[in-house]
Amino acid sequence: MKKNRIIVLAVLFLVFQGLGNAQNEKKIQFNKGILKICSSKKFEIKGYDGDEVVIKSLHKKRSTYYATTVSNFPNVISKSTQKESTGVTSGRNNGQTYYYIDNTTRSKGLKKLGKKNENKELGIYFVIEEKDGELIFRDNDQRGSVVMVSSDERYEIKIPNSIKLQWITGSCSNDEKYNGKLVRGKATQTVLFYNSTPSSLNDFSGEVEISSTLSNLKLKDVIGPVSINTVGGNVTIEFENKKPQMLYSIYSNNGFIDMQIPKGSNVQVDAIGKAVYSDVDFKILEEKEVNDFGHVKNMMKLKLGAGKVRMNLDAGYGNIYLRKQ
Amino acid sequence: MNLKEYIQDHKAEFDNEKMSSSADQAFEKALKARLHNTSSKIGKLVYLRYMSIAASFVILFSTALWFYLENQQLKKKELLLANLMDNSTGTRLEAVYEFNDAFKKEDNQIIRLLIKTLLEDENGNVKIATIDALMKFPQNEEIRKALIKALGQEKLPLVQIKLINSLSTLREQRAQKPLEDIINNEETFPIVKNNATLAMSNLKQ
Repeated sequence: MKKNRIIVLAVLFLVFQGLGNAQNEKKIQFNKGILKICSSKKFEIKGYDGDEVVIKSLHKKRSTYYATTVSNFPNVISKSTQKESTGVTSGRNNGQTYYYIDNTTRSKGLKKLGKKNENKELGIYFVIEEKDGELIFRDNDQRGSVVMVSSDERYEIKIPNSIKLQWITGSCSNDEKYNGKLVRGKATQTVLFYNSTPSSLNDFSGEVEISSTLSNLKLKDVIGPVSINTVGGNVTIEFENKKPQMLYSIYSNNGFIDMQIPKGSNVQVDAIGKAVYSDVDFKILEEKEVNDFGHVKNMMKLKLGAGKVRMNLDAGYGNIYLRKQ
Repeated sequence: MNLKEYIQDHKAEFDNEKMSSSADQAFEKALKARLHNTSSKIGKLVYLRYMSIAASFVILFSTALWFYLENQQLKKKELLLANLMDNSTGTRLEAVYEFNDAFKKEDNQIIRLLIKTLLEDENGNVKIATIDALMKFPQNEEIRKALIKALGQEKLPLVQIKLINSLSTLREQRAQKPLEDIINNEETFPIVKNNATLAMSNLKQ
Protein backbone atom coordinates (compact mmCIF):
# COMPACT_ATOMS: atom_id res chain seq x y z
CA MET A 1 0.00 0.00 0.00
CA LYS A 2 1.50 3.31 -1.03
CA LYS A 3 1.94 5.84 1.73
CA ASN A 4 0.49 9.34 1.88
CA ARG A 5 -1.94 8.65 -0.88
CA ILE A 6 -5.62 8.25 -0.56
CA ILE A 7 -6.88 5.03 -2.08
CA VAL A 8 -10.54 4.46 -2.48
CA LEU A 9 -11.07 0.97 -1.10
CA ALA A 10 -14.74 0.52 -1.55
CA VAL A 11 -17.86 2.34 -2.51
CA LEU A 12 -20.71 1.19 -0.37
CA PHE A 13 -24.14 2.61 -0.03
CA LEU A 14 -26.30 2.28 2.98
CA VAL A 15 -29.91 3.19 2.67
CA PHE A 16 -31.81 3.13 5.86
CA GLN A 17 -35.37 2.06 5.90
CA GLY A 18 -38.28 2.13 8.26
CA LEU A 19 -37.46 5.59 9.50
CA GLY A 20 -41.11 6.38 10.03
CA ASN A 21 -40.81 4.58 13.35
CA ALA A 22 -37.54 6.25 14.28
CA GLN A 23 -38.95 7.88 17.39
CA ASN A 24 -39.86 4.54 18.94
CA GLU A 25 -37.96 3.41 21.98
CA LYS A 26 -36.35 0.12 22.79
CA LYS A 27 -36.25 -0.79 26.46
CA ILE A 28 -33.93 -3.39 27.89
CA GLN A 29 -34.10 -4.53 31.51
CA PHE A 30 -30.54 -3.96 32.77
CA ASN A 31 -29.66 -2.41 36.13
CA LYS A 32 -26.49 -4.22 37.12
CA GLY A 33 -23.28 -4.86 35.19
CA ILE A 34 -21.51 -3.10 32.36
CA LEU A 35 -22.97 -1.32 29.36
CA LYS A 36 -20.28 -1.67 26.72
CA ILE A 37 -20.62 0.60 23.71
CA CYS A 38 -18.25 -0.24 20.85
CA SER A 39 -19.39 2.18 18.21
CA SER A 40 -18.31 5.31 16.44
CA LYS A 41 -21.90 6.48 16.13
CA LYS A 42 -23.09 9.54 18.00
CA PHE A 43 -24.73 8.96 21.36
CA GLU A 44 -26.35 11.30 23.83
CA ILE A 45 -26.36 9.31 27.03
CA LYS A 46 -28.21 10.30 30.17
CA GLY A 47 -28.19 8.67 33.57
CA TYR A 48 -31.35 8.14 35.59
CA ASP A 49 -32.56 6.18 38.60
CA GLY A 50 -34.24 3.28 36.86
CA ASP A 51 -33.83 -0.36 35.87
CA GLU A 52 -33.88 -0.18 32.09
CA VAL A 53 -31.60 0.93 29.31
CA VAL A 54 -33.78 2.93 26.94
CA ILE A 55 -32.64 3.56 23.36
CA LYS A 56 -34.26 6.16 21.15
CA SER A 57 -33.09 7.03 17.65
CA LEU A 58 -32.99 10.75 16.92
CA HIS A 59 -32.22 10.62 13.20
CA LYS A 60 -34.90 10.96 10.56
CA LYS A 61 -33.35 11.36 7.15
CA ARG A 62 -32.46 8.67 4.71
CA SER A 63 -28.80 8.87 4.10
CA THR A 64 -26.42 7.57 1.50
CA TYR A 65 -22.77 7.49 2.37
CA TYR A 66 -19.51 6.97 0.72
CA ALA A 67 -16.84 4.94 2.49
CA THR A 68 -13.16 5.38 1.80
CA THR A 69 -9.96 4.12 3.26
CA VAL A 70 -6.97 6.37 3.51
CA SER A 71 -3.67 4.59 3.27
CA ASN A 72 -1.88 6.50 5.99
CA PHE A 73 -4.98 6.99 8.07
CA PRO A 74 -6.76 3.68 7.99
CA ASN A 75 -10.48 3.41 7.98
CA VAL A 76 -11.36 7.06 7.93
CA ILE A 77 -14.94 7.31 6.85
CA SER A 78 -16.00 10.43 5.09
CA LYS A 79 -19.44 11.48 4.02
CA SER A 80 -19.58 12.42 0.38
CA THR A 81 -23.14 12.59 -0.79
CA GLN A 82 -26.58 12.44 0.62
CA LYS A 83 -29.38 11.60 -1.69
CA GLU A 84 -32.51 9.59 -2.02
CA SER A 85 -32.08 6.06 -3.20
CA THR A 86 -32.85 5.63 -6.86
CA GLY A 87 -33.22 1.90 -6.78
CA VAL A 88 -29.85 0.80 -8.07
CA THR A 89 -26.65 2.51 -7.17
CA SER A 90 -23.09 1.55 -7.89
CA GLY A 91 -19.51 2.36 -7.13
CA ARG A 92 -16.04 1.36 -8.27
CA ASN A 93 -12.94 0.28 -6.44
CA ASN A 94 -9.72 -0.98 -7.99
CA GLY A 95 -11.55 -1.97 -11.13
CA GLN A 96 -14.38 -3.68 -9.29
CA THR A 97 -17.88 -2.34 -9.35
CA TYR A 98 -20.26 -2.64 -6.44
CA TYR A 99 -24.00 -2.39 -6.79
CA TYR A 100 -26.62 -1.66 -4.22
CA ILE A 101 -30.19 -2.59 -5.14
CA ASP A 102 -32.97 -0.87 -3.24
CA ASN A 103 -35.67 -3.34 -2.26
CA THR A 104 -37.52 -1.01 0.07
CA THR A 105 -40.72 -1.03 -2.01
CA ARG A 106 -40.91 -4.81 -2.35
CA SER A 107 -40.11 -5.44 1.31
CA LYS A 108 -42.59 -2.92 2.61
CA GLY A 109 -44.55 -4.34 5.54
CA LEU A 110 -42.07 -7.16 6.05
CA LYS A 111 -39.35 -7.41 8.64
CA LYS A 112 -35.81 -8.32 7.69
CA LEU A 113 -34.83 -11.31 9.77
CA GLY A 114 -31.57 -11.85 11.60
CA LYS A 115 -29.89 -10.52 14.73
CA LYS A 116 -28.33 -7.58 12.95
CA ASN A 117 -31.69 -6.43 11.66
CA GLU A 118 -33.96 -6.99 14.59
CA ASN A 119 -34.06 -3.34 15.71
CA LYS A 120 -34.04 -1.62 12.34
CA GLU A 121 -37.75 -0.92 12.44
CA LEU A 122 -36.95 1.23 15.50
CA GLY A 123 -34.27 3.08 13.60
CA ILE A 124 -31.55 1.35 15.58
CA TYR A 125 -28.68 0.36 13.33
CA PHE A 126 -26.31 -1.30 15.73
CA VAL A 127 -26.23 -4.77 17.21
CA ILE A 128 -27.40 -5.28 20.78
CA GLU A 129 -26.07 -8.29 22.68
CA GLU A 130 -26.15 -9.36 26.29
CA LYS A 131 -23.70 -11.84 27.78
CA ASP A 132 -21.83 -12.45 31.03
CA GLY A 133 -23.38 -9.47 32.78
CA GLU A 134 -22.55 -7.13 29.93
CA LEU A 135 -24.94 -5.34 27.61
CA ILE A 136 -23.04 -4.68 24.40
CA PHE A 137 -23.82 -2.23 21.60
CA ARG A 138 -21.58 -2.64 18.58
CA ASP A 139 -21.58 -1.43 15.00
CA ASN A 140 -23.03 -4.09 12.77
CA ASP A 141 -20.96 -3.19 9.75
CA GLN A 142 -17.42 -3.75 10.99
CA ARG A 143 -16.20 -5.76 8.03
CA GLY A 144 -12.45 -5.70 8.26
CA SER A 145 -11.28 -2.40 6.95
CA VAL A 146 -14.62 -0.93 5.93
CA VAL A 147 -17.19 0.52 8.24
CA MET A 148 -20.37 2.11 7.00
CA VAL A 149 -21.93 4.62 9.30
CA SER A 150 -24.31 7.44 8.75
CA SER A 151 -22.98 10.60 10.33
CA ASP A 152 -26.46 11.92 11.05
CA GLU A 153 -27.27 8.81 13.03
CA ARG A 154 -27.90 9.94 16.58
CA TYR A 155 -29.20 8.08 19.55
CA GLU A 156 -30.44 9.12 22.94
CA ILE A 157 -29.78 6.47 25.54
CA LYS A 158 -31.04 6.51 29.11
CA ILE A 159 -29.00 4.34 31.45
CA PRO A 160 -29.50 3.42 35.12
CA ASN A 161 -27.09 5.07 37.54
CA SER A 162 -26.43 1.64 39.03
CA ILE A 163 -24.46 0.33 36.04
CA LYS A 164 -20.96 0.92 34.76
CA LEU A 165 -20.48 2.55 31.35
CA GLN A 166 -17.63 1.41 29.12
CA TRP A 167 -17.66 3.42 25.91
CA ILE A 168 -15.22 2.89 23.06
CA THR A 169 -15.70 5.02 19.96
CA GLY A 170 -14.47 2.23 17.72
CA SER A 171 -14.07 -1.52 17.78
CA CYS A 172 -13.76 -3.27 21.10
CA SER A 173 -10.80 -5.46 21.90
CA ASN A 174 -11.17 -9.14 21.15
CA ASP A 175 -9.00 -10.05 24.12
CA GLU A 176 -10.66 -12.37 26.55
CA LYS A 177 -9.80 -13.94 29.86
CA TYR A 178 -9.83 -17.69 30.29
CA ASN A 179 -9.14 -19.09 33.77
CA GLY A 180 -7.77 -15.73 34.83
CA LYS A 181 -5.29 -15.57 31.93
CA LEU A 182 -5.50 -12.96 29.23
CA VAL A 183 -5.82 -14.41 25.74
CA ARG A 184 -5.09 -11.95 22.95
CA GLY A 185 -7.74 -11.87 20.27
CA LYS A 186 -7.23 -11.13 16.62
CA ALA A 187 -6.25 -7.51 16.08
CA THR A 188 -9.16 -5.26 15.29
CA GLN A 189 -8.96 -2.34 12.96
CA THR A 190 -9.02 1.08 14.49
CA VAL A 191 -12.02 2.85 13.13
CA LEU A 192 -11.71 6.59 12.84
CA PHE A 193 -14.65 8.87 12.52
CA TYR A 194 -14.76 12.57 12.04
CA ASN A 195 -17.64 14.15 13.85
CA SER A 196 -17.51 17.80 14.81
CA THR A 197 -20.40 17.65 17.30
CA PRO A 198 -19.47 15.89 20.51
CA SER A 199 -21.05 12.78 21.90
CA SER A 200 -22.30 13.46 25.39
CA LEU A 201 -22.94 11.95 28.78
CA ASN A 202 -25.17 13.75 31.29
CA ASP A 203 -26.37 13.30 34.87
CA PHE A 204 -24.68 9.99 35.48
CA SER A 205 -23.42 8.79 38.86
CA GLY A 206 -22.02 5.37 37.89
CA GLU A 207 -18.48 4.55 36.89
CA VAL A 208 -17.42 5.73 33.43
CA GLU A 209 -14.66 4.54 31.11
CA ILE A 210 -14.32 6.19 27.70
CA SER A 211 -11.75 5.51 25.02
CA SER A 212 -12.18 7.69 21.97
CA THR A 213 -10.49 8.35 18.70
CA LEU A 214 -11.04 11.64 16.90
CA SER A 215 -14.31 12.09 18.77
CA ASN A 216 -15.10 15.09 20.88
CA LEU A 217 -16.74 14.39 24.21
CA LYS A 218 -18.86 16.45 26.53
CA LEU A 219 -19.74 15.35 30.05
CA LYS A 220 -22.14 17.24 32.27
CA ASP A 221 -22.93 16.54 35.92
CA VAL A 222 -21.01 13.27 35.96
CA ILE A 223 -19.70 12.80 39.49
CA GLY A 224 -17.11 10.09 38.81
CA PRO A 225 -15.13 7.97 38.85
CA VAL A 226 -14.35 8.87 35.25
CA SER A 227 -11.49 7.69 33.07
CA ILE A 228 -11.15 9.06 29.54
CA ASN A 229 -8.42 8.59 26.99
CA THR A 230 -8.59 10.14 23.56
CA VAL A 231 -6.49 10.52 20.47
CA GLY A 232 -7.25 13.74 18.63
CA GLY A 233 -10.40 14.47 20.61
CA ASN A 234 -11.33 17.37 22.85
CA VAL A 235 -12.91 16.80 26.24
CA THR A 236 -15.31 19.24 27.90
CA ILE A 237 -16.52 18.68 31.44
CA GLU A 238 -19.32 20.79 32.90
CA PHE A 239 -21.11 20.87 36.22
CA GLU A 240 -24.45 22.53 36.78
CA ASN A 241 -26.19 20.80 39.68
CA LYS A 242 -23.49 18.45 40.94
CA LYS A 243 -19.88 18.45 42.05
CA PRO A 244 -17.12 15.99 41.25
CA GLN A 245 -17.09 13.37 44.00
CA MET A 246 -14.68 10.75 42.72
CA LEU A 247 -11.63 10.42 40.52
CA TYR A 248 -11.35 12.14 37.15
CA SER A 249 -8.55 10.74 34.99
CA ILE A 250 -8.22 12.18 31.49
CA TYR A 251 -5.43 11.56 28.95
CA SER A 252 -5.30 13.18 25.54
CA ASN A 253 -2.39 13.37 23.14
CA ASN A 254 -3.15 16.79 21.71
CA GLY A 255 -6.79 17.74 22.23
CA PHE A 256 -7.80 20.26 24.84
CA ILE A 257 -9.32 19.48 28.23
CA ASP A 258 -11.82 22.12 29.34
CA MET A 259 -13.21 21.57 32.81
CA GLN A 260 -15.53 23.51 35.06
CA ILE A 261 -14.66 23.43 38.73
CA PRO A 262 -17.81 24.04 40.81
CA LYS A 263 -17.65 26.41 43.76
CA GLY A 264 -16.92 24.58 47.00
CA SER A 265 -15.21 21.63 45.31
CA ASN A 266 -12.54 19.70 47.21
CA VAL A 267 -10.14 18.74 44.47
CA GLN A 268 -6.48 18.08 43.93
CA VAL A 269 -5.56 18.54 40.29
CA ASP A 270 -2.45 17.18 38.61
CA ALA A 271 -2.46 18.99 35.28
CA ILE A 272 -0.01 18.44 32.42
CA GLY A 273 -0.31 20.24 29.10
CA LYS A 274 1.16 22.76 26.74
CA ALA A 275 -0.34 25.42 29.02
CA VAL A 276 -2.73 25.46 31.97
CA TYR A 277 -5.26 28.28 32.13
CA SER A 278 -7.57 28.98 35.06
CA ASP A 279 -9.62 31.57 36.90
CA VAL A 280 -10.16 29.29 39.91
CA ASP A 281 -8.51 30.24 43.22
CA PHE A 282 -6.31 27.19 43.39
CA LYS A 283 -3.46 26.83 45.81
CA ILE A 284 -0.46 25.95 43.66
CA LEU A 285 1.40 23.13 45.40
CA GLU A 286 3.98 22.50 42.73
CA GLU A 287 4.84 23.64 39.25
CA LYS A 288 7.52 22.80 36.75
CA GLU A 289 8.30 22.80 33.08
CA VAL A 290 9.48 19.68 31.33
CA ASN A 291 11.01 19.28 27.92
CA ASP A 292 9.24 16.49 26.10
CA PHE A 293 11.12 15.79 22.89
CA GLY A 294 11.49 19.48 22.11
CA HIS A 295 8.03 20.44 23.35
CA VAL A 296 7.78 22.35 26.62
CA LYS A 297 5.02 21.03 28.86
CA ASN A 298 3.71 22.58 32.05
CA MET A 299 3.08 20.41 35.07
CA MET A 300 0.99 21.85 37.87
CA LYS A 301 -0.19 20.37 41.14
CA LEU A 302 -3.19 22.37 42.32
CA LYS A 303 -5.47 22.18 45.31
CA LEU A 304 -8.89 23.59 46.07
CA GLY A 305 -10.53 23.11 49.47
CA ALA A 306 -9.41 19.96 51.23
CA GLY A 307 -8.25 18.38 47.98
CA LYS A 308 -10.22 15.20 48.59
CA VAL A 309 -11.12 14.34 44.99
CA ARG A 310 -8.20 13.54 42.74
CA MET A 311 -8.11 14.83 39.17
CA ASN A 312 -5.30 13.74 36.87
CA LEU A 313 -5.50 15.66 33.61
CA ASP A 314 -2.91 15.12 30.88
CA ALA A 315 -3.61 16.97 27.63
CA GLY A 316 -0.28 16.02 26.03
CA TYR A 317 0.51 18.82 23.61
CA GLY A 318 -2.92 20.38 24.09
CA ASN A 319 -4.03 23.01 26.60
CA ILE A 320 -5.93 22.60 29.84
CA TYR A 321 -8.64 25.07 30.84
CA LEU A 322 -9.94 25.01 34.41
CA ARG A 323 -12.74 27.47 34.81
CA LYS A 324 -15.20 28.66 37.44
CA GLN A 325 -18.75 27.38 37.21
CA MET B 1 65.23 -5.16 111.23
CA ASN B 2 62.71 -4.77 108.58
CA LEU B 3 59.04 -3.92 109.04
CA LYS B 4 57.88 -7.50 108.72
CA GLU B 5 60.18 -8.75 111.50
CA TYR B 6 59.20 -5.77 113.66
CA ILE B 7 55.49 -6.55 113.33
CA GLN B 8 56.05 -10.23 114.08
CA ASP B 9 58.09 -9.38 117.18
CA HIS B 10 55.44 -6.96 118.48
CA LYS B 11 52.35 -8.89 117.36
CA ALA B 12 51.02 -9.35 120.90
CA GLU B 13 51.33 -5.64 121.66
CA PHE B 14 49.48 -4.71 118.51
CA ASP B 15 46.67 -7.14 119.37
CA ASN B 16 46.18 -5.74 122.83
CA GLU B 17 46.42 -2.07 121.94
CA LYS B 18 43.15 -0.03 122.19
CA MET B 19 42.05 2.97 120.24
CA SER B 20 42.38 6.21 122.15
CA SER B 21 39.26 8.26 122.81
CA SER B 22 40.71 11.15 120.76
CA ALA B 23 41.08 8.75 117.86
CA ASP B 24 37.38 7.82 118.24
CA GLN B 25 36.38 11.44 118.01
CA ALA B 26 38.58 11.99 114.97
CA PHE B 27 37.09 8.87 113.40
CA GLU B 28 33.55 10.02 114.06
CA LYS B 29 34.35 13.43 112.56
CA ALA B 30 35.79 11.82 109.49
CA LEU B 31 32.79 9.51 109.26
CA LYS B 32 30.36 12.45 109.38
CA ALA B 33 32.29 14.22 106.66
CA ARG B 34 32.21 11.04 104.60
CA LEU B 35 28.49 10.57 105.21
CA HIS B 36 27.82 14.12 104.04
CA ASN B 37 29.74 13.43 100.80
CA THR B 38 27.79 10.17 100.28
CA SER B 39 24.45 11.97 100.35
CA SER B 40 25.67 14.17 97.48
CA LYS B 41 26.64 11.11 95.46
CA ILE B 42 23.35 9.41 96.25
CA GLY B 43 21.57 12.50 94.89
CA LYS B 44 23.54 12.13 91.69
CA LEU B 45 22.68 8.46 91.57
CA VAL B 46 18.98 9.20 91.97
CA TYR B 47 19.21 11.80 89.20
CA LEU B 48 20.93 9.29 86.93
CA ARG B 49 18.26 6.74 87.77
CA TYR B 50 15.50 9.15 86.71
CA MET B 51 17.41 9.94 83.56
CA SER B 52 17.78 6.29 82.69
CA ILE B 53 14.07 5.70 83.31
CA ALA B 54 13.21 8.65 81.04
CA ALA B 55 15.62 7.35 78.40
CA SER B 56 14.00 3.94 78.62
CA PHE B 57 10.62 5.54 78.04
CA VAL B 58 11.98 7.42 75.05
CA ILE B 59 13.45 4.22 73.62
CA LEU B 60 10.22 2.35 74.30
CA PHE B 61 8.12 5.11 72.75
CA SER B 62 10.40 5.35 69.72
CA THR B 63 10.26 1.60 69.21
CA ALA B 64 6.47 1.62 69.53
CA LEU B 65 6.25 4.52 67.09
CA TRP B 66 8.54 2.73 64.65
CA PHE B 67 6.43 -0.41 64.89
CA TYR B 68 3.28 1.68 64.44
CA LEU B 69 4.65 3.46 61.38
CA GLU B 70 5.92 0.19 59.93
CA ASN B 71 2.52 -1.36 60.55
CA GLN B 72 0.81 1.62 58.93
CA GLN B 73 3.14 1.35 55.93
CA LEU B 74 2.42 -2.38 55.71
CA LYS B 75 -1.32 -1.74 55.87
CA LYS B 76 -0.93 0.98 53.25
CA LYS B 77 0.97 -1.43 51.04
CA GLU B 78 -1.60 -4.21 51.53
CA LEU B 79 -4.39 -1.79 50.65
CA LEU B 80 -2.47 -0.63 47.60
CA LEU B 81 -1.92 -4.21 46.41
CA ALA B 82 -5.60 -5.04 46.94
CA ASN B 83 -6.72 -1.86 45.14
CA LEU B 84 -4.43 -2.60 42.19
CA MET B 85 -6.43 -5.80 41.65
CA ASP B 86 -9.86 -4.25 42.22
CA ASN B 87 -12.62 -4.64 39.64
CA SER B 88 -13.26 -0.90 39.57
CA THR B 89 -11.06 0.99 37.13
CA GLY B 90 -11.35 4.09 39.33
CA THR B 91 -9.99 2.19 42.34
CA ARG B 92 -7.09 0.74 40.33
CA LEU B 93 -6.26 4.19 39.00
CA GLU B 94 -6.38 5.73 42.49
CA ALA B 95 -3.97 3.01 43.62
CA VAL B 96 -1.46 3.72 40.87
CA TYR B 97 -1.64 7.48 41.51
CA GLU B 98 -1.23 6.82 45.25
CA PHE B 99 1.89 4.77 44.54
CA ASN B 100 3.23 7.59 42.40
CA ASP B 101 2.69 10.15 45.16
CA ALA B 102 3.46 8.27 48.36
CA PHE B 103 5.82 5.37 47.64
CA LYS B 104 9.41 6.37 47.05
CA LYS B 105 11.15 3.05 47.68
CA GLU B 106 11.53 0.29 45.12
CA ASP B 107 9.28 -2.49 46.39
CA ASN B 108 9.56 -5.71 44.37
CA GLN B 109 6.11 -6.97 45.29
CA ILE B 110 4.42 -3.76 44.15
CA ILE B 111 6.57 -3.52 41.03
CA ARG B 112 5.67 -7.09 40.02
CA LEU B 113 1.99 -6.24 40.32
CA LEU B 114 2.44 -2.99 38.41
CA ILE B 115 4.15 -4.92 35.60
CA LYS B 116 1.23 -7.38 35.53
CA THR B 117 -1.12 -4.39 35.41
CA LEU B 118 0.81 -2.88 32.50
CA LEU B 119 0.63 -6.11 30.53
CA GLU B 120 -2.88 -7.25 31.37
CA ASP B 121 -5.13 -4.37 32.45
CA GLU B 122 -7.95 -3.58 30.05
CA ASN B 123 -8.05 0.15 30.69
CA GLY B 124 -5.79 2.58 28.84
CA ASN B 125 -5.69 5.16 31.65
CA VAL B 126 -4.55 2.53 34.15
CA LYS B 127 -1.77 1.46 31.79
CA ILE B 128 -0.57 5.03 31.14
CA ALA B 129 -0.54 5.84 34.87
CA THR B 130 1.31 2.56 35.49
CA ILE B 131 3.99 3.46 32.94
CA ASP B 132 4.54 6.75 34.82
CA ALA B 133 4.82 4.79 38.09
CA LEU B 134 7.31 2.29 36.68
CA MET B 135 9.42 5.04 35.11
CA LYS B 136 10.37 6.12 38.65
CA PHE B 137 12.85 3.24 38.62
CA PRO B 138 14.62 3.52 35.27
CA GLN B 139 17.50 1.22 36.23
CA ASN B 140 15.28 -1.75 37.04
CA GLU B 141 15.88 -4.42 34.40
CA GLU B 142 12.52 -6.14 34.96
CA ILE B 143 10.74 -2.86 34.33
CA ARG B 144 12.70 -2.22 31.14
CA LYS B 145 11.89 -5.72 29.84
CA ALA B 146 8.21 -5.25 30.71
CA LEU B 147 8.03 -1.93 28.84
CA ILE B 148 9.56 -3.56 25.75
CA LYS B 149 7.14 -6.50 25.97
CA ALA B 150 4.18 -4.15 26.43
CA LEU B 151 5.20 -2.17 23.34
CA GLY B 152 5.18 -5.39 21.34
CA GLN B 153 1.62 -6.29 22.29
CA GLU B 154 -0.17 -2.99 22.94
CA LYS B 155 -3.00 -1.96 20.61
CA LEU B 156 -4.37 1.24 22.12
CA PRO B 157 -2.74 4.20 20.30
CA LEU B 158 -2.38 6.48 23.33
CA VAL B 159 -0.70 3.74 25.37
CA GLN B 160 1.55 2.88 22.42
CA ILE B 161 2.67 6.53 22.25
CA LYS B 162 3.36 6.58 25.99
CA LEU B 163 5.45 3.39 25.75
CA ILE B 164 7.38 4.65 22.73
CA ASN B 165 8.26 7.95 24.43
CA SER B 166 9.21 6.21 27.69
CA LEU B 167 11.53 3.70 26.00
CA SER B 168 13.03 6.50 23.94
CA THR B 169 13.69 8.48 27.14
CA LEU B 170 15.36 5.39 28.63
CA ARG B 171 17.41 5.04 25.41
CA GLU B 172 16.48 1.36 25.45
CA GLN B 173 18.09 -0.12 22.34
CA ARG B 174 16.11 -3.38 22.65
CA ALA B 175 12.98 -1.40 21.78
CA GLN B 176 14.11 -1.15 18.16
CA LYS B 177 12.50 -4.48 17.19
CA PRO B 178 8.96 -3.67 18.42
CA LEU B 179 9.37 -0.14 17.05
CA GLU B 180 10.20 -1.58 13.64
CA ASP B 181 7.12 -3.83 13.83
CA ILE B 182 4.94 -0.83 14.64
CA ILE B 183 6.40 1.22 11.79
CA ASN B 184 5.90 -1.62 9.30
CA ASN B 185 2.39 -2.49 10.43
CA GLU B 186 -0.14 -1.05 7.99
CA GLU B 187 -2.80 -0.93 10.68
CA THR B 188 -0.75 1.28 12.99
CA PHE B 189 -2.35 4.58 13.74
CA PRO B 190 -0.46 7.35 11.85
CA ILE B 191 0.42 9.41 14.92
CA VAL B 192 1.79 6.27 16.59
CA LYS B 193 3.84 5.53 13.48
CA ASN B 194 5.25 9.07 13.54
CA ASN B 195 6.24 8.74 17.21
CA ALA B 196 7.81 5.33 16.55
CA THR B 197 9.82 6.67 13.61
CA LEU B 198 11.07 9.59 15.72
CA ALA B 199 11.97 7.28 18.60
CA MET B 200 13.81 4.91 16.27
CA SER B 201 15.78 7.83 14.90
CA ASN B 202 16.64 8.96 18.46
CA LEU B 203 17.78 5.48 19.45
CA LYS B 204 20.03 5.14 16.43
CA GLN B 205 21.80 8.46 17.08
